[in-house]
Amino acid sequence: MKTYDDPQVSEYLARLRTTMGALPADEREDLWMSVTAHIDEGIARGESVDAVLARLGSPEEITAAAAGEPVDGPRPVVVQAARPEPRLRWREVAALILLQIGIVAWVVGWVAGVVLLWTSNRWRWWEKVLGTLVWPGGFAGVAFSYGSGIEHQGETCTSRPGQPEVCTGSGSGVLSAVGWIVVLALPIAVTIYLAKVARPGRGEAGS
Amino acid sequence: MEPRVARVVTQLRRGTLEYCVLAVLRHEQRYAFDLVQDLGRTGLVTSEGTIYPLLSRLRRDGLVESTWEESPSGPPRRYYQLTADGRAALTAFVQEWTTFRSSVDAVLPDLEDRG
Repeated sequence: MKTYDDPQVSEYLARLRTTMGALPADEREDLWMSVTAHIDEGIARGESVDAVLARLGSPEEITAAAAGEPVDGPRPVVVQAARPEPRLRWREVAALILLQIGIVAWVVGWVAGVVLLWTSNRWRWWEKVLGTLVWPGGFAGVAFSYGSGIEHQGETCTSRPGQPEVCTGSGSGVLSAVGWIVVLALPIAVTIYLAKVARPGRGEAGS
Repeated sequence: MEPRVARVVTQLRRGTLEYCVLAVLRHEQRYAFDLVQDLGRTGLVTSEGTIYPLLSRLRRDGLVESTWEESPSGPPRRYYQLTADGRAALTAFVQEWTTFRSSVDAVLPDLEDRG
């Protein structure tokens, strides 16, 4: 059609095509047919391209009207809402990891974890206390202290040539199994809890 | 215009425009170009092109329907007309609007006197 040869019209339509990109395909098609037919008709009636395009309004305005319509029923949301803040940022993930295994890195890692924990706004103050006190050093601390504790228990092992090593003790094998489960489960539970309750601004909303 | 007032006027216009479109169609089907131009002249819309998305939504909601017809001279023409649902919606709105308008009108003169 001859109107498309007009550089002003083709520029207008190119902009319309670009700005309509976010609309659902059927709406895009509908709008495209309406606007091109409108321009054709205006020019066929002897109006100037300038006048027709000026009264139509910019492609951006038209697309905004299509996107800003009140939504009736389940239609795809065209305009992106402001992205919500993530519950856990990298710094919160780092805090939770460092609290558990950071002590391996010369204690400094665990201290860094504590600092990250307390400067985050994702937790309430008592949750931060919980994270700090669950066990100094979390997993690594537990493993270290419990491991060294076992060595001092009254367990003796004997080995004879040609036979497997036999250990005798005060039933500490059973006790330590239960103990391990408890002391390991506690840091895991606290970590899971802290990861689940973390919310932006939670720390500022009072205790 | 005072910003707060401008916001209200924008909202009123946005809310009532679709019923103005239905009202323009109440007697007969209209060619899209004429329909849009008439509404543009009322001053309700500054950019005629923004009526097309509205027509599109009214059509999806089943309040209007459209047909394409070949034109002896010029491009094919799209005609819009009211559906039964569209007519019912218009009637309901006219009743509500009349009540609303008289309620507001009844209060506003008092405020002017005091001011």
